[in-house]
Amino acid sequence: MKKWRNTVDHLMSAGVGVLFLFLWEMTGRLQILPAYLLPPPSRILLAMVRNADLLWQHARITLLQAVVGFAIAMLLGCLLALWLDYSPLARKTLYPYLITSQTVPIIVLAPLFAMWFGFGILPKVLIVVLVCFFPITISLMEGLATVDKELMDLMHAMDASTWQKYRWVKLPAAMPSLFSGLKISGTYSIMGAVIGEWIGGRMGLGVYMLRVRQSFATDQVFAVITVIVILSILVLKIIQLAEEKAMPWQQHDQSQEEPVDQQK
Amino acid sequence: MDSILEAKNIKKSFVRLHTLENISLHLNRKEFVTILGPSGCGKSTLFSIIAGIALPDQGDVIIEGEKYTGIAGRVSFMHQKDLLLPWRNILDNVCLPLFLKGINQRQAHAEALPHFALFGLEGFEKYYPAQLSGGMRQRAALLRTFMFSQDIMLLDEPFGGLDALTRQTMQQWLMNVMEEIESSVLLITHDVDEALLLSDRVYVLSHRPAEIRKEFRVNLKRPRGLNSFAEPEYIQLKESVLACLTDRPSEE
Ligand SMILES: Nc1ncnc2c1ncn2[C@@H]1O[C@H](COP(=O)(O)OP(=O)(O)OP(=O)(O)O)[C@@H](O)[C@H]1O
Ligand SMILES: [Mg+2]
Repeated sequence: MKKWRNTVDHLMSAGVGVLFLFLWEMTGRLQILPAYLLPPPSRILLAMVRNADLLWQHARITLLQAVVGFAIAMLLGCLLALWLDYSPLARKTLYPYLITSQTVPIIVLAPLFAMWFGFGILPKVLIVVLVCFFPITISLMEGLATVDKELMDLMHAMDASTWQKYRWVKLPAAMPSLFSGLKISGTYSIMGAVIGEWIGGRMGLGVYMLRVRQSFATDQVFAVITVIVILSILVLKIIQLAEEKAMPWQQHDQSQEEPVDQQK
Repeated sequence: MDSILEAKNIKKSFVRLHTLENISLHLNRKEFVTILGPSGCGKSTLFSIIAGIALPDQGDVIIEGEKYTGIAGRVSFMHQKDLLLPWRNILDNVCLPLFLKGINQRQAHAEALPHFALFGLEGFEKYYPAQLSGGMRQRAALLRTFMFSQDIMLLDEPFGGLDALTRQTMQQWLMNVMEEIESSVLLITHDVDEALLLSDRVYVLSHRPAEIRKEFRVNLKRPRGLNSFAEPEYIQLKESVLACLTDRPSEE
């Protein structure tokens, strides 16, 4: 019954997407909007297929920068969150700075990084790290802080060490919160790399996008945008997959009926 | 007397709340003792002090002749909520106290598995807590408590969160389990029937600041069951316990 409803829901949302693409295609075919402003999906697809090699070469670089930056942000973010959770003193002194640091829009730092570190991979990775770092730190901190107090009391009553409290209770309890932060950061990571590439460089989707824009190839600009969207979705899906693998107990919460109590 | 646990003149106040006033009680070896008291009088606070996770303002906790005030890890402690780890299956949850003591997984499992039948959990070792009924989760929590320390167990309203019917089954079940194991148990409850059914002795606490108002000895013959409720001795005892519980101090 539930499965059937799910299928219907999926069909409905897929239908809306198809309808949208169809109307878009019609704006081009019926020449409501000129193709140099809004090329129809078929033209965009054609541009993607024709430039597949070139797109892939640039996408590889963007993906590399995003993944490396994301990995570094994850490592640093988790370490900082753990430290701030463990030490109340560190939390009291550093947390205000952590929050204020977010009022600086990272994008305005990008030209500065280009000045300092040139046009290679490094400044782009740095931007990705800065963009991804905050959501990961905050979400893990929140997850660690909201652990059931009574559960921690029980661990205390069982004389658990600090490491044991983290290993058995705090870290697993913080996982759902951590993953929601990872998902936000994951989508930011591609965006961060592209913004970094806009400032300057030789390779990457951001660089390529500027190039095709200058030659007024609107269909190719859209092709790049499409690839960027696909990459972002891909990163998100991989994180979701990791989430399911990391928390197998979550699947059991809704999917299974309660077994009848043996003694009744 | 063969007392295994003793609380001596325990006093405790929170910032503006005088909670425990001079509580002294003892628990004998293999005895089942219940603490009955009005809601919010400080029963759970008393247990945290006995379990060593909170410090009293005054007084001492003595276990087997040694001072254990503020030292956690000697007695096992069960909360009203089952507090099972949602990310571990029942077997690992039950083994948690053993893992914390540094026992490896294989050995811990081997130690816990023989008890699964007695605790009505056989066949559910690999289930996650969310897949079990409330009664089963509570039994798993009790088995975990038992795995931590078998000689002294503190049970804080272990059946408080269950529906009336399940609670009754669980009380009967716990009574049978008590015949099989050699533990000394201190139980907190609101339920007078539960107290009289399970206990050898009952302490009744007063309103805040809590003092021990009276101590009752329950001499009903065992095994007790639903038919015990009809015995005149039982009815009389229940009446005096209830009277003692509801007898409010004059200043209120
Ligand atoms: N850490 C604390 N700080 C301040 N007040 C507290 C603290 N812990 C408990 N109290 C207060 O002390 C009183 C006794 O609490 P306790 O939980 O021990 O009562 P209880 O008898 O177990 O109640 P219940 O029957 O509801 O379980 C309550 O009024 C509670 O609000
Ligand atoms: Mg309580």
